[in-house]
Amino acid sequence: MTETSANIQRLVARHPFPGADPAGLQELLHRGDEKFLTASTLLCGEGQPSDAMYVLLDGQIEVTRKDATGQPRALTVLHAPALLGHMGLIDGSNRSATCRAKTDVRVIQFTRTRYHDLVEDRSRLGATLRRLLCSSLSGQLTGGNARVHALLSEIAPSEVTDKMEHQDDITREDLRQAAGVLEGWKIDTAGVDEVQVVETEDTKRARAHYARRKT
Amino acid sequence: MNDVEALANLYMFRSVSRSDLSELCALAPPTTFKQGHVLFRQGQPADVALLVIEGRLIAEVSGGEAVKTVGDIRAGEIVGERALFSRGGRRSATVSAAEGSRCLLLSWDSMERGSHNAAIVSIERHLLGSLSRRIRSTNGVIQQAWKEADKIERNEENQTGPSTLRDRLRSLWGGLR
Repeated sequence: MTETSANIQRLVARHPFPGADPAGLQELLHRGDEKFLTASTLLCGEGQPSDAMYVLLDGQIEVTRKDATGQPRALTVLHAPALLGHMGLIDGSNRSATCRAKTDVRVIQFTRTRYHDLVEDRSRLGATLRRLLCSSLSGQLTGGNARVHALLSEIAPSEVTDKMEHQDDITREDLRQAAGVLEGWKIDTAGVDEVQVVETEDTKRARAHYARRKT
Repeated sequence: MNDVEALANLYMFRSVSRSDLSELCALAPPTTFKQGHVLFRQGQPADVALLVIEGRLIAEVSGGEAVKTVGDIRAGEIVGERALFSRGGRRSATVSAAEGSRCLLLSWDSMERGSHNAAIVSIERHLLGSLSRRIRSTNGVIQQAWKEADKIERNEENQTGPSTLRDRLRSLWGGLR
């Protein structure tokens, strides 16, 4: 088995969905453009328009984002296989982070036009892309929410709650990590939660809090 | 109003034909739940997602003796979609009918069999949008908390007192205790 086919199988295993099979994903990847980047090459820059999404098949990509002072901060390093850049195509937002090849990498690029064609497609290829992305987003949200709740809620599992009770502080690094996960740059397969906890009473109160402060 | 017409009124199905919606109803049979009926229980194996056709569901999470309401699911919304994208997952919340409700029961199998159905395609596109919005929404709150935490930490460098960043974050979230 080649490294590429092994990574395709890993991708399907990591993001399961109805009808998933490695051959179908391989066929989907043939619809994209294969690109090779040498180490240190910029793939996409924070704030730029989202013009493509990528499937990382070989190598590593470093993800950074500017902090409040404008200094780039490392969020995570993506290891193949991974999906990246899809959030901006789904919701039309600009790049929220900078991605740079940490090693020599090989990616499959789906331009915005091709992405939209496939997302509308009723064939097996379209279903494969939509479901792969849904599975990835669902896993990201689940993992992210679990981390947020482990950090901030007393509903966290008892072992986490116990840890929090004895923890002096939640560090800013914890928050950065949580934010990085939620932004979709880090794949977290630990969560088994299903109902995503987002608009909780707590976050509603937080929003009301900010709204009051603005006025 | 029959199920196909009720589905046709939902935004996500605005361009889906009646025949595709009819097929969707065969793949994912609509089911009625009385007010108060518990559809999922936290910790149970997850096997189906629910698309609300009519009515309203409520999602609650319990931890210790506390119960928190974490979701209010209305017509045109989907809950429990993790069942469609993982094997062997368990419910992380209890979902019950806040009022008499009618829902489609979407299973892994129904999605697989309905891959070419335009209504299933619309459900998947709806999920892409809603999942990304929820990730952005959560991320926005965390980013704001992060900024607040930075401010708090800078202010506290010149102050003494027992308040930790964790305490302040708890406070920021509206008080979790």
